Amino acid sequence: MPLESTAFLEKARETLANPQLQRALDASTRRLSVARQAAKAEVADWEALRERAYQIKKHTLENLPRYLTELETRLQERGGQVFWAADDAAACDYIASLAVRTGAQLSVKSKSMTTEEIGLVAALVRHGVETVETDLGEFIIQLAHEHPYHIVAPAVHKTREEVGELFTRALGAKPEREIAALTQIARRALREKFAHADLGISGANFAVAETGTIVVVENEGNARLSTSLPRVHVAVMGIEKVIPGWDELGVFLRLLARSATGQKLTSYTSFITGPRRPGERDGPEEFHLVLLDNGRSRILADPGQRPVLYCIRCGACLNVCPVYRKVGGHSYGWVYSGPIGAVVNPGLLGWQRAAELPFASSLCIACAEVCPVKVPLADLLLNLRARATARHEAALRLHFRRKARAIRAWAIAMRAAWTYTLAGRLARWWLRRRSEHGWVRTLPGLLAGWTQQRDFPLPAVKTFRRLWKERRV
Amino acid sequence: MRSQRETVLQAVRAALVDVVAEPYVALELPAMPELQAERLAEQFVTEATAVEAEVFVASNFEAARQQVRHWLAEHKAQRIVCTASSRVAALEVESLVPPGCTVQSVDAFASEAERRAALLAADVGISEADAALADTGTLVELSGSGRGRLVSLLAPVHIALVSRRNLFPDLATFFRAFKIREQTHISSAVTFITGPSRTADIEQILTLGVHGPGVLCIALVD
Repeated sequence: MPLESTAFLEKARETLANPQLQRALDASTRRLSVARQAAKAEVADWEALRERAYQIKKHTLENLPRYLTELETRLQERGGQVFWAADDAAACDYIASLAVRTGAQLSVKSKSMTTEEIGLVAALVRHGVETVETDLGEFIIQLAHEHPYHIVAPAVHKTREEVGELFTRALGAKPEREIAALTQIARRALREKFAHADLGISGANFAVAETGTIVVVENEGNARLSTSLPRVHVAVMGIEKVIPGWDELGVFLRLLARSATGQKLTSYTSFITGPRRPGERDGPEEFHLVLLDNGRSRILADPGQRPVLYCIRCGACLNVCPVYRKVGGHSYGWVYSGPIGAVVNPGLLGWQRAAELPFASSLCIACAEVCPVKVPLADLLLNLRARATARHEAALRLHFRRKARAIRAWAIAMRAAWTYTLAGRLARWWLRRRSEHGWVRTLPGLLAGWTQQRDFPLPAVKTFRRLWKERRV
Repeated sequence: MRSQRETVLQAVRAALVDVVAEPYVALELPAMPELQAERLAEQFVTEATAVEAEVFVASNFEAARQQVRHWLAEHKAQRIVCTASSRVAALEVESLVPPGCTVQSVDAFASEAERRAALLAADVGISEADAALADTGTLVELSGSGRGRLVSLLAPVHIALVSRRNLFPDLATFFRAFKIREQTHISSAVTFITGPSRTADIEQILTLGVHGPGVLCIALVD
């Protein structure tokens, strides 16, 4: 049953009732949106670039077996090991047994939504491998035992005071309120981990089939540390991340950082092709790439929803979404949030388990307009809504019976000028009777939703038609 | 039992039965503006400065040496690790710092453990970038013998030399040149460095030097 009494609604209410969270959400999404617009404005061929990216993704996914096997072959030629994982359990088992085989006690992990998706940290901890999130935002989230709030800004909901208290409690650090000092506390704590880690874990933003190269985009340097200090590096990527070659990579790199944070490029972009070569002084001795399906082939099998897999996880659609900006990331109930989460989560989890998410949208479609790879989010959301509706027809019929009655009454009122005028007069009289100090605080029945989070202003004393008539006279 | 590989590939193949194979039209990159070398250098300085790197355009190599001396003094360098490139060697870093400072080359350690300890303790890393991209102010480092990916990463201050001759207009032109050069031997790690390490993870406020260097100094040399 869409959006009647779901975890989404509960979480959303909680977020709406928290003024500090509302301010943080508003400020951060606004900042990222403004930065994105400025960065986009100086690329003359932005629209052509988006169309290019869309075509590349379409082509690659339609020929996915060919590009995945090419990626595998090239990477193996360069000494890398490839593991295909049908689901989260297979991926976690492989990495856990890799950790056990190499005697790893401590692993360091850079930011990756895919490892979050498969619950890798918990799986490694169960196997006795301490696993530390090293991206500052993720580190804070891990210490607080929470889940990321935003695809690119996981700790966007925490204030500096909260971070300071968390560091004092969890790390025994002396109380600090300056952001720079807090950052240095995290740097020192995590350097210690990097220096002793045996296993480094990363995601991959892209994988280049023609050379067997994975690409990791970041700002802090923790992904560089995770992929070059430990003696084993394992990267986890969804099978949809592969692209044909370096020319295509250039297109996506020009789009990704601009869309995510408004940067031309992030501070660091690492292109990693297998383990260290003879003669090299550093870098991992073993390199493993996990190619994860975990529901992606199911989305691929559904031509209507296939473009869900074009997403490059920039988060631009979250920042412009009027629903995300109010209800925040945790309301979506799983790893991916915002408009893209509303189509990815039902796709990966199965259409039944997140059926309500596509309804968490006003269909304003700002998301589709900003998407750097032109994911047709409107079509995808509507498809999923239609499916959820078809499946719950009986329940929905009951739900809509009251709505249908109201709509019939509306139709009668709109049928002739005199009924419209009469209905308007009645409505104004009724609203005025319910009001206090010029505001309507509550409305009954079907209309209750309007006044749940806000007050309803009284209608103007003179209607537009009345003003129009007076003007003409 | 089918292997995971077969399971995934079967699922992917089965998912695509509806697809009518279309020939792939190779990417036609839009023509890049032909920038003069001088313009490229100018653009590189502007862009790198915009991302909080400090850039010095050296009129000759001695000027670059003196600038490196200035940077080392400014950041009170005590323990310096250098890559083994000939340009970095030509800086003769020992002669630029007061006695008591240690200057070590990544190639000059007896064991990996010693190299790692020195790198972790270093306060300045000096390397030569293999290329630079003008339109984003980016340095490009390739892994390989004598280089080392940690020199530009572990110390809080990174000083980089880069030659004007290795300046590319943008990443697309670099990728094309790189692919031709690396046809037989793709470096195991290529790193783009665009400004110092940064984060905005606490309250969206920009902070430099979270995991990598907080200070990036670049000398553009001939």
